[in-house]
Amino acid sequence: MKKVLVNLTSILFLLFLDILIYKTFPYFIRANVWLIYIIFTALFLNHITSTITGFVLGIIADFLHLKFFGLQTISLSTLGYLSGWLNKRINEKFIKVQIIVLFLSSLAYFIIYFLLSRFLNLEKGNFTYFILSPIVNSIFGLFLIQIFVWYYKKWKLI
Amino acid sequence: MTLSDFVKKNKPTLIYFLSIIFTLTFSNTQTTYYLKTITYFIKYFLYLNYKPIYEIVDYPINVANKFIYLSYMYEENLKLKQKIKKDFLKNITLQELLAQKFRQEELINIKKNLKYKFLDCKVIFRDYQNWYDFVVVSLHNNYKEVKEDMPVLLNEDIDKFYFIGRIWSIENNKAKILLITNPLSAIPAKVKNKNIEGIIIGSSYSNLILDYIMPDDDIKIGDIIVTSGLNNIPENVEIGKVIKIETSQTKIFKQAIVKPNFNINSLKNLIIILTSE
Repeated sequence: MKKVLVNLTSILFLLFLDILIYKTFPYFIRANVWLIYIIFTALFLNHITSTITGFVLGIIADFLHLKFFGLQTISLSTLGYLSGWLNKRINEKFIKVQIIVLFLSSLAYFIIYFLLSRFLNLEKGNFTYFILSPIVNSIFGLFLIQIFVWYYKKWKLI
Repeated sequence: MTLSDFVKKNKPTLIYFLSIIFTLTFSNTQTTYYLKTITYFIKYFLYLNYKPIYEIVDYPINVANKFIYLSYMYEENLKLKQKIKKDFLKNITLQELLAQKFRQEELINIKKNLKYKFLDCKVIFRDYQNWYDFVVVSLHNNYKEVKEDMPVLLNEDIDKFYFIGRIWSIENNKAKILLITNPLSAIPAKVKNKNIEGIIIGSSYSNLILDYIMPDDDIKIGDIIVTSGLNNIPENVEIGKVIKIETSQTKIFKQAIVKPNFNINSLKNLIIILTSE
Protein backbone atom coordinates (compact mmCIF):
# COMPACT_ATOMS: atom_id res chain seq x y z
CA MET A 1 0.00 0.00 0.00
CA LYS A 2 2.80 2.37 1.01
CA LYS A 3 4.64 1.57 -2.22
CA VAL A 4 1.55 2.28 -4.36
CA LEU A 5 0.91 5.58 -2.60
CA VAL A 6 4.53 6.72 -2.93
CA ASN A 7 4.57 5.77 -6.63
CA LEU A 8 1.24 7.51 -7.20
CA THR A 9 2.37 10.72 -5.51
CA SER A 10 5.58 10.56 -7.54
CA ILE A 11 3.57 10.26 -10.75
CA LEU A 12 1.35 13.19 -9.70
CA PHE A 13 4.47 15.21 -8.95
CA LEU A 14 5.78 14.28 -12.41
CA LEU A 15 2.50 15.38 -13.95
CA PHE A 16 2.82 18.73 -12.21
CA LEU A 17 6.43 19.07 -13.33
CA ASP A 18 5.54 18.11 -16.89
CA ILE A 19 2.94 20.88 -17.06
CA LEU A 20 5.34 23.34 -15.42
CA ILE A 21 8.12 22.53 -17.86
CA TYR A 22 5.72 22.55 -20.81
CA LYS A 23 4.49 26.02 -19.88
CA THR A 24 7.79 27.52 -18.79
CA PHE A 25 10.54 26.35 -21.11
CA PRO A 26 10.83 26.52 -24.89
CA TYR A 27 10.56 23.15 -26.67
CA PHE A 28 14.29 22.65 -27.26
CA ILE A 29 15.27 22.83 -23.57
CA ARG A 30 12.40 20.82 -22.10
CA ALA A 31 13.44 17.95 -19.85
CA ASN A 32 11.58 14.64 -20.17
CA VAL A 33 10.52 13.99 -16.57
CA TRP A 34 8.96 10.58 -17.42
CA LEU A 35 12.31 9.38 -18.76
CA ILE A 36 14.15 10.63 -15.68
CA TYR A 37 11.74 8.77 -13.38
CA ILE A 38 12.21 5.55 -15.36
CA ILE A 39 16.00 5.88 -15.05
CA PHE A 40 15.57 6.44 -11.32
CA THR A 41 13.50 3.23 -10.97
CA ALA A 42 16.03 1.33 -13.10
CA LEU A 43 18.98 2.49 -11.00
CA PHE A 44 17.55 2.49 -7.49
CA LEU A 45 14.61 0.01 -7.55
CA ASN A 46 14.64 -3.11 -9.73
CA HIS A 47 14.37 -4.39 -13.29
CA ILE A 48 10.69 -5.42 -13.14
CA THR A 49 9.61 -2.09 -11.63
CA SER A 50 11.51 -0.13 -14.29
CA THR A 51 9.86 -2.18 -17.09
CA ILE A 52 6.36 -1.79 -15.62
CA THR A 53 6.99 1.93 -14.88
CA GLY A 54 8.15 2.41 -18.46
CA PHE A 55 4.98 0.80 -19.76
CA VAL A 56 2.62 2.71 -17.41
CA LEU A 57 4.30 6.07 -17.88
CA GLY A 58 4.39 5.42 -21.64
CA ILE A 59 0.62 4.98 -21.67
CA ILE A 60 0.19 8.18 -19.57
CA ALA A 61 2.51 10.12 -21.87
CA ASP A 62 0.66 8.74 -24.89
CA PHE A 63 -2.64 9.84 -23.42
CA LEU A 64 -1.29 13.30 -22.59
CA HIS A 65 0.32 14.01 -25.95
CA LEU A 66 -1.58 11.67 -28.26
CA LYS A 67 -0.17 11.51 -31.78
CA PHE A 68 -0.18 7.82 -32.42
CA PHE A 69 -1.08 5.43 -29.62
CA GLY A 70 1.89 3.23 -28.75
CA LEU A 71 4.72 5.49 -29.78
CA GLN A 72 5.60 6.67 -26.28
CA THR A 73 4.56 3.37 -24.72
CA ILE A 74 6.96 1.33 -26.84
CA SER A 75 9.77 3.88 -26.49
CA LEU A 76 9.52 4.20 -22.73
CA SER A 77 8.87 0.47 -22.16
CA THR A 78 11.98 -0.38 -24.17
CA LEU A 79 13.97 2.22 -22.26
CA GLY A 80 12.68 0.88 -18.93
CA TYR A 81 13.55 -2.67 -19.94
CA LEU A 82 17.01 -1.79 -21.27
CA SER A 83 17.99 0.50 -18.42
CA GLY A 84 16.71 -2.12 -15.98
CA TRP A 85 19.68 -4.28 -16.93
CA LEU A 86 21.95 -1.73 -15.27
CA ASN A 87 20.36 -2.41 -11.88
CA LYS A 88 22.89 -3.80 -9.38
CA ARG A 89 25.53 -3.79 -12.11
CA ILE A 90 26.78 -0.24 -11.64
CA ASN A 91 27.27 1.96 -8.58
CA GLU A 92 24.30 4.26 -8.93
CA LYS A 93 25.31 6.44 -5.96
CA PHE A 94 28.00 8.22 -7.98
CA ILE A 95 26.76 11.41 -9.55
CA LYS A 96 28.98 10.91 -12.61
CA VAL A 97 27.37 7.53 -13.20
CA GLN A 98 23.92 9.05 -12.92
CA ILE A 99 24.80 11.76 -15.42
CA ILE A 100 26.28 9.30 -17.92
CA VAL A 101 23.29 6.94 -17.60
CA LEU A 102 20.88 9.84 -18.02
CA PHE A 103 22.73 11.10 -21.07
CA LEU A 104 22.99 7.69 -22.74
CA SER A 105 19.37 6.79 -21.88
CA SER A 106 18.15 10.06 -23.35
CA LEU A 107 20.09 9.36 -26.51
CA ALA A 108 18.72 5.83 -26.65
CA TYR A 109 15.18 7.05 -26.04
CA PHE A 110 15.41 9.58 -28.84
CA ILE A 111 16.94 7.09 -31.22
CA ILE A 112 14.06 4.67 -30.52
CA TYR A 113 11.51 7.46 -30.73
CA PHE A 114 13.05 8.80 -33.94
CA LEU A 115 13.22 5.39 -35.58
CA LEU A 116 9.66 4.53 -34.59
CA SER A 117 8.40 7.89 -35.88
CA ARG A 118 10.16 7.27 -39.19
CA PHE A 119 8.95 3.70 -39.31
CA LEU A 120 5.36 4.72 -38.69
CA ASN A 121 5.84 7.76 -40.94
CA LEU A 122 4.45 10.07 -38.27
CA GLU A 123 6.67 13.13 -38.05
CA LYS A 124 9.95 14.47 -39.30
CA GLY A 125 12.59 14.58 -36.56
CA ASN A 126 13.41 17.89 -34.96
CA PHE A 127 17.18 17.78 -34.71
CA THR A 128 17.56 20.77 -32.38
CA TYR A 129 15.34 19.01 -29.91
CA PHE A 130 17.22 15.79 -30.54
CA ILE A 131 20.64 17.32 -29.87
CA LEU A 132 19.88 19.41 -26.79
CA SER A 133 17.51 17.11 -24.92
CA PRO A 134 20.10 14.60 -23.60
CA ILE A 135 22.10 17.48 -22.08
CA VAL A 136 19.01 19.07 -20.56
CA ASN A 137 17.81 15.69 -19.27
CA SER A 138 21.21 14.99 -17.70
CA ILE A 139 21.33 18.31 -15.86
CA PHE A 140 17.70 18.42 -14.80
CA GLY A 141 17.56 14.65 -14.13
CA LEU A 142 20.47 14.85 -11.72
CA PHE A 143 18.49 17.13 -9.40
CA LEU A 144 15.25 15.26 -9.87
CA ILE A 145 16.86 11.89 -9.08
CA GLN A 146 18.24 13.31 -5.80
CA ILE A 147 14.69 14.43 -4.89
CA PHE A 148 13.30 10.96 -5.60
CA VAL A 149 16.14 9.28 -3.72
CA TRP A 150 15.42 11.49 -0.71
CA TYR A 151 11.67 10.82 -0.98
CA TYR A 152 11.99 7.04 -1.36
CA LYS A 153 14.58 6.89 1.43
CA LYS A 154 12.20 8.79 3.67
CA TRP A 155 9.58 6.09 3.14
CA LYS A 156 12.26 3.39 3.45
CA LEU A 157 11.66 2.01 -0.03
CA ILE A 158 15.33 2.09 -1.03
CA MET B 1 14.09 -26.09 -16.44
CA THR B 2 10.38 -25.92 -15.76
CA LEU B 3 8.09 -23.20 -17.10
CA SER B 4 7.76 -21.56 -13.67
CA ASP B 5 11.55 -21.38 -13.35
CA PHE B 6 11.81 -19.80 -16.79
CA VAL B 7 9.13 -17.27 -15.91
CA LYS B 8 10.81 -16.46 -12.59
CA LYS B 9 14.17 -16.01 -14.25
CA ASN B 10 12.97 -13.93 -17.21
CA LYS B 11 10.19 -11.96 -15.52
CA PRO B 12 11.25 -8.49 -16.76
CA THR B 13 11.74 -9.74 -20.34
CA LEU B 14 8.32 -11.39 -20.34
CA ILE B 15 6.68 -8.29 -18.93
CA TYR B 16 8.44 -6.23 -21.57
CA PHE B 17 7.35 -8.47 -24.44
CA LEU B 18 3.81 -8.64 -23.09
CA SER B 19 3.65 -4.87 -22.92
CA ILE B 20 5.04 -4.59 -26.45
CA ILE B 21 2.50 -7.12 -27.74
CA PHE B 22 -0.27 -5.26 -25.91
CA THR B 23 0.84 -1.95 -27.37
CA LEU B 24 1.27 -3.29 -30.89
CA THR B 25 -2.18 -4.87 -30.74
CA PHE B 26 -3.79 -1.56 -30.05
CA SER B 27 -1.43 0.76 -31.87
CA ASN B 28 -3.03 1.66 -35.16
CA THR B 29 -4.66 4.78 -36.52
CA GLN B 30 -8.15 3.49 -35.76
CA THR B 31 -7.32 2.95 -32.08
CA THR B 32 -5.63 6.35 -31.97
CA TYR B 33 -8.81 7.87 -33.39
CA TYR B 34 -10.98 6.16 -30.75
CA LEU B 35 -8.49 6.89 -28.00
CA LYS B 36 -8.35 10.53 -28.98
CA THR B 37 -12.06 10.77 -28.18
CA ILE B 38 -11.44 9.09 -24.83
CA THR B 39 -8.45 11.35 -24.24
CA TYR B 40 -10.53 14.45 -24.86
CA PHE B 41 -13.18 13.07 -22.55
CA ILE B 42 -10.64 12.31 -19.83
CA LYS B 43 -8.84 15.63 -20.36
CA TYR B 44 -12.14 17.42 -19.88
CA PHE B 45 -12.46 15.89 -16.40
CA LEU B 46 -8.75 16.11 -15.76
CA TYR B 47 -8.88 19.77 -16.53
CA LEU B 48 -10.70 20.31 -13.24
CA ASN B 49 -7.71 18.75 -11.50
CA TYR B 50 -5.31 20.59 -13.74
CA LYS B 51 -6.90 23.95 -13.10
CA PRO B 52 -5.25 24.68 -9.72
CA ILE B 53 -1.94 23.40 -11.13
CA TYR B 54 -2.32 25.71 -14.10
CA GLU B 55 -3.13 28.58 -11.78
CA ILE B 56 -0.11 27.88 -9.59
CA VAL B 57 2.10 27.55 -12.64
CA ASP B 58 0.59 30.51 -14.48
CA TYR B 59 0.80 33.01 -11.64
CA PRO B 60 4.61 33.35 -11.38
CA ILE B 61 4.89 33.14 -15.17
CA ASN B 62 2.36 35.94 -15.58
CA VAL B 63 4.13 38.05 -12.96
CA ALA B 64 7.49 37.44 -14.67
CA ASN B 65 5.95 38.26 -18.05
CA LYS B 66 4.54 41.47 -16.66
CA PHE B 67 7.99 42.51 -15.46
CA ILE B 68 9.46 41.65 -18.84
CA TYR B 69 6.72 43.63 -20.60
CA LEU B 70 7.31 46.45 -18.13
CA SER B 71 10.89 46.84 -19.34
CA TYR B 72 9.66 46.77 -22.96
CA MET B 73 7.00 49.31 -22.08
CA TYR B 74 9.57 51.52 -20.39
CA GLU B 75 11.70 51.54 -23.55
CA GLU B 76 8.65 52.09 -25.71
CA ASN B 77 7.52 54.88 -23.43
CA LEU B 78 10.88 56.64 -23.74
CA LYS B 79 10.75 56.34 -27.53
CA LEU B 80 7.17 57.64 -27.58
CA LYS B 81 8.07 60.56 -25.32
CA GLN B 82 10.88 61.52 -27.68
CA LYS B 83 8.51 61.18 -30.63
CA ILE B 84 5.89 63.31 -28.88
CA LYS B 85 8.54 65.96 -28.14
CA LYS B 86 9.60 66.01 -31.79
CA ASP B 87 6.00 66.04 -33.00
CA PHE B 88 5.14 68.79 -30.54
CA LEU B 89 7.95 71.01 -31.85
CA LYS B 90 7.01 70.13 -35.42
CA ASN B 91 3.39 70.97 -34.64
CA ILE B 92 4.35 74.36 -33.18
CA THR B 93 6.48 75.14 -36.25
CA LEU B 94 3.67 74.11 -38.59
CA GLN B 95 1.12 76.13 -36.62
CA GLU B 96 3.42 79.13 -36.79
CA LEU B 97 3.85 78.68 -40.55
CA LEU B 98 0.11 78.27 -40.96
CA ALA B 99 -0.53 81.42 -38.92
CA GLN B 100 2.02 83.28 -41.06
CA LYS B 101 0.30 82.07 -44.22
CA PHE B 102 -3.10 83.21 -42.93
CA ARG B 103 -1.61 86.51 -41.89
CA GLN B 104 -0.09 87.01 -45.35
CA GLU B 105 -3.45 86.26 -46.97
CA GLU B 106 -5.07 88.63 -44.53
CA LEU B 107 -2.50 91.34 -45.34
CA ILE B 108 -3.20 90.99 -49.07
CA ASN B 109 -6.88 91.64 -48.38
CA ILE B 110 -6.04 94.49 -46.02
CA LYS B 111 -3.93 96.08 -48.73
CA LYS B 112 -7.02 96.19 -50.94
CA ASN B 113 -9.11 97.93 -48.24
CA LEU B 114 -6.58 100.18 -46.57
CA LYS B 115 -5.56 103.22 -48.56
CA TYR B 116 -2.29 103.75 -46.68
CA LYS B 117 1.09 102.17 -47.04
CA PHE B 118 1.62 100.02 -43.99
CA LEU B 119 3.99 97.60 -42.35
CA ASP B 120 3.02 94.42 -40.56
CA CYS B 121 4.52 93.79 -37.13
CA LYS B 122 4.18 91.35 -34.30
CA VAL B 123 4.03 91.95 -30.54
CA ILE B 124 6.98 90.24 -28.86
CA PHE B 125 7.07 91.74 -25.40
CA ARG B 126 4.74 93.37 -22.94
CA ASP B 127 5.77 94.41 -19.47
CA TYR B 128 3.24 93.28 -16.90
CA GLN B 129 4.02 96.27 -14.66
CA ASN B 130 3.22 98.68 -17.51
CA TRP B 131 0.60 96.49 -19.15
CA TYR B 132 -1.53 99.37 -20.47
CA ASP B 133 1.42 101.62 -21.25
CA PHE B 134 3.73 100.02 -23.80
CA VAL B 135 4.20 97.01 -26.06
CA VAL B 136 7.33 96.01 -27.96
CA VAL B 137 6.92 94.82 -31.52
CA SER B 138 9.23 93.07 -33.90
CA LEU B 139 9.56 94.73 -37.28
CA HIS B 140 10.21 92.59 -40.30
CA ASN B 141 12.38 93.59 -43.23
CA ASN B 142 11.86 97.22 -44.12
CA TYR B 143 12.01 98.55 -40.57
CA LYS B 144 14.14 101.51 -41.68
CA GLU B 145 10.99 103.12 -43.04
CA VAL B 146 9.49 103.19 -39.57
CA LYS B 147 9.75 106.52 -37.79
CA GLU B 148 8.70 107.77 -34.39
CA ASP B 149 5.09 108.92 -33.86
CA MET B 150 3.76 106.73 -36.65
CA PRO B 151 0.28 105.49 -35.85
CA VAL B 152 -0.29 101.82 -35.07
CA LEU B 153 -3.56 100.03 -35.83
CA LEU B 154 -5.09 96.75 -34.90
CA ASN B 155 -7.18 94.90 -37.43
CA GLU B 156 -9.77 92.45 -36.24
CA ASP B 157 -11.14 91.94 -39.72
CA ILE B 158 -9.96 92.89 -43.18
CA ASP B 159 -12.01 96.08 -43.11
CA LYS B 160 -12.18 96.79 -39.38
CA PHE B 161 -9.32 98.76 -37.84
CA TYR B 162 -8.78 100.21 -34.38
CA PHE B 163 -6.31 102.83 -33.31
CA ILE B 164 -4.12 101.45 -30.54
CA GLY B 165 -1.18 103.84 -30.24
CA ARG B 166 1.94 105.36 -31.76
CA ILE B 167 5.61 104.48 -32.19
CA TRP B 168 7.52 105.69 -29.13
CA SER B 169 11.05 104.57 -29.99
CA ILE B 170 12.87 102.32 -32.47
CA GLU B 171 15.90 100.19 -31.80
CA ASN B 172 17.25 97.96 -34.58
CA ASN B 173 14.28 95.92 -35.77
CA LYS B 174 12.27 96.46 -32.60
CA ALA B 175 9.89 99.27 -31.81
CA LYS B 176 8.24 100.38 -28.60
CA ILE B 177 4.63 101.42 -29.00
CA LEU B 178 2.98 103.95 -26.73
CA LEU B 179 -0.48 102.55 -26.19
CA ILE B 180 -3.56 104.70 -26.30
CA THR B 181 -4.24 103.70 -22.68
CA ASN B 182 -0.97 105.26 -21.48
CA PRO B 183 -1.57 108.55 -19.59
CA LEU B 184 1.19 110.10 -21.72
CA SER B 185 -0.89 109.47 -24.84
CA ALA B 186 -3.13 112.28 -26.07
CA ILE B 187 -4.82 111.77 -29.42
CA PRO B 188 -7.19 114.17 -31.19
CA ALA B 189 -10.50 112.36 -31.59
CA LYS B 190 -14.10 113.06 -32.56
CA VAL B 191 -17.52 111.55 -32.22
CA LYS B 192 -18.49 109.65 -35.35
CA ASN B 193 -20.98 111.45 -37.58
CA LYS B 194 -21.09 114.43 -35.17
CA ASN B 195 -19.13 117.60 -35.05
CA ILE B 196 -17.81 116.98 -31.57
CA GLU B 197 -14.09 116.88 -31.05
CA GLY B 198 -11.87 116.29 -28.07
CA ILE B 199 -8.71 114.58 -26.95
CA ILE B 200 -8.46 110.96 -25.98
CA ILE B 201 -6.19 110.52 -22.97
CA GLY B 202 -5.06 107.26 -21.45
CA SER B 203 -5.71 106.36 -17.85
CA SER B 204 -3.35 103.41 -17.20
CA TYR B 205 -6.24 100.99 -17.25
CA SER B 206 -8.50 99.67 -19.98
CA ASN B 207 -10.81 102.70 -20.28
CA LEU B 208 -9.99 106.05 -21.90
CA ILE B 209 -11.00 109.60 -21.21
CA LEU B 210 -12.32 111.90 -23.93
CA ASP B 211 -11.51 115.33 -22.56
CA TYR B 212 -12.04 118.88 -23.73
CA ILE B 213 -15.62 118.40 -24.88
CA MET B 214 -17.49 121.64 -25.01
CA PRO B 215 -20.35 121.85 -22.48
CA ASP B 216 -22.86 122.45 -25.26
CA ASP B 217 -21.80 119.44 -27.31
CA ASP B 218 -24.48 116.79 -27.64
CA ILE B 219 -22.50 113.71 -26.69
CA LYS B 220 -24.45 110.62 -25.61
CA ILE B 221 -23.68 107.23 -24.12
CA GLY B 222 -23.08 104.74 -26.92
CA ASP B 223 -21.53 107.27 -29.33
CA ILE B 224 -18.60 105.87 -31.33
CA ILE B 225 -15.29 107.71 -30.96
CA VAL B 226 -12.97 107.83 -33.97
CA THR B 227 -9.69 109.57 -34.81
CA SER B 228 -10.05 113.07 -36.11
CA GLY B 229 -7.31 112.88 -38.80
CA LEU B 230 -4.93 115.34 -37.19
CA ASN B 231 -1.26 114.78 -36.24
CA ASN B 232 -0.56 112.44 -39.19
CA ILE B 233 -3.12 109.95 -37.88
CA PRO B 234 -5.61 108.52 -40.43
CA GLU B 235 -9.12 109.83 -40.09
CA ASN B 236 -12.15 107.85 -38.89
CA VAL B 237 -10.23 105.00 -37.36
CA GLU B 238 -12.38 103.60 -34.59
CA ILE B 239 -11.28 103.85 -30.96
CA GLY B 240 -14.20 102.95 -28.72
CA LYS B 241 -17.61 103.96 -27.50
CA VAL B 242 -18.82 106.31 -24.77
CA ILE B 243 -19.98 104.53 -21.63
CA LYS B 244 -20.20 107.45 -19.21
CA ILE B 245 -20.38 111.25 -19.38
CA GLU B 246 -19.05 113.32 -16.52
CA THR B 247 -20.02 116.96 -16.07
CA SER B 248 -18.72 119.10 -13.26
CA GLN B 249 -19.55 122.63 -12.24
CA THR B 250 -15.92 123.26 -11.32
CA LYS B 251 -14.66 122.22 -14.78
CA ILE B 252 -15.23 124.05 -18.01
CA PHE B 253 -15.19 120.99 -20.24
CA LYS B 254 -17.18 117.79 -20.18
CA GLN B 255 -15.45 114.44 -19.95
CA ALA B 256 -16.56 111.14 -21.43
CA ILE B 257 -15.35 107.70 -20.39
CA VAL B 258 -14.63 105.68 -23.51
CA LYS B 259 -14.37 101.94 -23.58
CA PRO B 260 -12.12 100.67 -26.42
CA ASN B 261 -13.94 98.51 -28.95
CA PHE B 262 -11.06 96.05 -29.05
CA ASN B 263 -9.51 93.84 -26.45
CA ILE B 264 -6.38 95.65 -25.41
CA ASN B 265 -5.18 92.64 -23.45
CA SER B 266 -4.75 90.49 -26.54
CA LEU B 267 -2.59 92.32 -29.02
CA LYS B 268 -0.73 90.12 -31.46
CA ASN B 269 -0.45 91.31 -35.05
CA LEU B 270 -0.42 95.07 -35.59
CA ILE B 271 -0.15 97.44 -38.53
CA ILE B 272 2.10 100.48 -38.63
CA ILE B 273 0.83 103.17 -41.01
CA LEU B 274 3.90 104.42 -42.90
CA THR B 275 2.43 107.14 -45.07
CA SER B 276 -0.95 108.65 -45.46
CA GLU B 277 -2.34 108.78 -48.95
